[in-house]
Amino acid sequence: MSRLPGRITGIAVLVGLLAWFYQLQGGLQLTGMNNQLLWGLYIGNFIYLVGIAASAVILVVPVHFFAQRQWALSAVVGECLALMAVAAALLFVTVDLGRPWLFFHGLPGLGTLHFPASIMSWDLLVLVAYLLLNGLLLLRFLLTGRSPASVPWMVLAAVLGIAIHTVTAFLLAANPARPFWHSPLLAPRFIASAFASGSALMILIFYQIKGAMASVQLLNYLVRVMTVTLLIHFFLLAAELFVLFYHPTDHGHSARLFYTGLDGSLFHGGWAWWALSLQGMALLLVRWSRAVPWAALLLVIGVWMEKGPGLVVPAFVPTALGEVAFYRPSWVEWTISAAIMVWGVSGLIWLVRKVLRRWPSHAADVALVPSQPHRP
Amino acid sequence: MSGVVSRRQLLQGAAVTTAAAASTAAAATLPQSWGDALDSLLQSHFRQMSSEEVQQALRRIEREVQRRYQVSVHCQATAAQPGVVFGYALNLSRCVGARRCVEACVRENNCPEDGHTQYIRVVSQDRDNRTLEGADHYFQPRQVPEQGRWYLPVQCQQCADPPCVQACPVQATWREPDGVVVIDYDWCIGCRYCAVACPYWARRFNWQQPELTADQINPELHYLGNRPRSAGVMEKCTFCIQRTRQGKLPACQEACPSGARVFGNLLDEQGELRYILTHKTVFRLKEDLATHPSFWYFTDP
Repeated sequence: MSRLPGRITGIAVLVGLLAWFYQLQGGLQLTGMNNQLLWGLYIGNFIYLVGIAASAVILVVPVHFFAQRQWALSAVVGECLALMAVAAALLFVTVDLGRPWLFFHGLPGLGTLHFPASIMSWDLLVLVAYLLLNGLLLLRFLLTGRSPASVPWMVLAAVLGIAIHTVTAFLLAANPARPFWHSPLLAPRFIASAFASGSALMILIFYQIKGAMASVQLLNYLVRVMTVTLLIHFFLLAAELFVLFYHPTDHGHSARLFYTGLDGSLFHGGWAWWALSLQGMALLLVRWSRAVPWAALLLVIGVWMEKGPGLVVPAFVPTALGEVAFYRPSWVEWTISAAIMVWGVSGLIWLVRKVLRRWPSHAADVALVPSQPHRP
Repeated sequence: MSGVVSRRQLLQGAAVTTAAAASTAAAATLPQSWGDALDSLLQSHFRQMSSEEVQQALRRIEREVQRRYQVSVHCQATAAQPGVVFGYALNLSRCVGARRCVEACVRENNCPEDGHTQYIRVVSQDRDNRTLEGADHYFQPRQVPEQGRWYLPVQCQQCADPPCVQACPVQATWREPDGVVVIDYDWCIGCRYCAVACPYWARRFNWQQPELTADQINPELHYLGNRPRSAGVMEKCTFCIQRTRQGKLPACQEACPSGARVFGNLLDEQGELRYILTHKTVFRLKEDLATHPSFWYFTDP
C-alpha cells in the first residue's frame, strides 16, 4: 500500500497545528470574525459535522427496529463515520475558543458547567457522551471482535445521535436575539438535511467498499433515505420561505438577505442559490443508478454550504442593532478547517479499514442474504 | 563601584521577587510573573473564592498591571450594597449625539482607544424611522444635533432576565444583587455564545491583546469592572461598577453634555430615576423579547 496518503495527512495535520498556534498567539483577530460577526467557518463546520455524526442512526434504525440483521456490520461503518465526525466537530469548537486552555472550566467537578441553564452545556454533554460511546463500542469491536450490533448500547447511540442533532439546533434556536435561527422549524430542518447529506456520505463510502457489506439492498435503502429526507427538507424550506416573503417583517430580514443577496458578501445571495441548486441537481440525478454517486457528492457539498456557513453567518447580518456586517474567512481559518477535515477523513479511512479487516471472521455470525446464484 | 551597587540592588530585587513568588507554593522557584500567571490560570471562579483568595487575586492583578504598563493601580472588589438595584433612564429628546458618553466610557473602563471596544453605540436615526434597520452607526456630521435626526445610545441594558447569563456554558457571567451583569475575566473561555445571545449588541470580545499605554490607564480598578482584560475574553458595560458601588455616577452620565442620562437606585423612592419611571412615558428596547432591561428610554412631551 502506498504511504502517500499517510504523508499527506501528516503534513496537513502539521500545517493545521502550526496555523492554530499562530492563531493562539495572535488572537482571533487573525480570523475573519469580529464583534459583529461572532461565529464563522469554524462553527459552521461544527454544525455540519454534528449533523453527519448523527447519520449513523440511519443504519442503526433498520438493524434494530426492522430486524435487518444482515446490515449489522455495515452499521459499524456508520459508527466509524459518527465517531470521526463528532471528534472533528469538537476540534472545530476548540479552535474557535478564545482561551481553549481553560476548557476545564466546563468539566463537571473541576469547573462550573452551567447545567441545565445553558444549552451549550447540554451540547457539550451529549457530544462528549456520543464520542465516548461510539469510541468505546468501536474499540470493543476491534479488540474482541464482538459486534456492537448485539448490544443495547447501539440503541442508546441512536438516541444520542438524535439528541446531538436536536440540542445543536436548539443551541441556535434558543436565541431570540437572532431571528434567523429563532424558529421551531430549525431543528426539524436541520435533521432532515443532515440525514440527506449523511446518507449521501455513506453512499459515497459504501461505493468504495466492495463485497457483501455494501449490498445492493443497503445502497438502495440509503438512496431512498437520501431522497425522502431531501424532499422533506425542501418542503420545510418552502414553508419557511412562504412565511418570510408573504408578509416581510424585520424578523425575517436576515433570512431575506441570505436568499436575495447582499453585495460584497461571500455568504449571501449566490451562496444560498448554489447550495439549493446542488441539492436540486442531486434530486434529479438520483433517478439514474449510475449517477447516484454524483448525486451524493453534489448533495454533500450543497448541504455543507447550507447547513455549514450558510446556517451560521447570515444570523449575524444584520446585527442585533441593525448593522450590516461582512465576513470573509481568513487564510488561517481555511487552513485550520481544511486540516481538521483532512484529519477526519483520514481517520475515517483508517478506521473503516480496521473494521473491514475484522469482517471475514464475522461473516458466520451474521445472517447474510445470499446473492442470486448465476443461472446459465 | 557603581556597578557593584547596581548588581547588589539587582540581587536584592530578585530576592524580593522570589519571596513574593514563594507565597505560591507551586511556583516557589519561578519568577513572580510566572507565579502570577499560574495563579490566574488555576484560581477559582470569583464567586467560589474565599475573601482571602479574593485579596490575593486583587494584589496579583495590581502586580500584573504594574508589570505590563508601569503604572501603580488599586484594584478593589467592593460588593453590591444592600438595598440598591441600579437602573438607568435616558431622555431621547435631550440626546444630541455628541458621543461624549462613548469617549468617557472608553477612558474610564480601560478600553483601547482604537475604537474596536466601545461599550456604548450611539446610532443616528431619521425622524421618520423607528426601527433599527437603516440606523446610521457611523455618523460624522460637522456639528450635532443635525436637523431632522434623533439619536439612540445603546449599551448593556443590565437585563433582569439576561439571555447572555443563561447562555454562558461555564457561568463566567452573572447578574449581581445590585442588578449589574458582570464577567469574571479570568474564568471566561471565549466561546462568544453570550454575545450571540445578546439582543442589544452589548458585549465585546478581545480579538487580540488590547493595546493600552501607561497614560491611558485609569488606576482605580474593580475585579468585575474596568481592570485591564486580556486576549480571548468577553467584556461589557458594568454601569461603571468601580464608581457606582462607591456612590459615584457612571462615567457616561457624568460626561453627558445635555443631561440626557439619569442613573440611580431603583429602590430609592425619592430618587430622580423613580420620578421619571412614575411620571414619564417610558419604554425599553425590544421589550417583546422578555429580557426585562434595567434601562429605560423616554422623551419630553
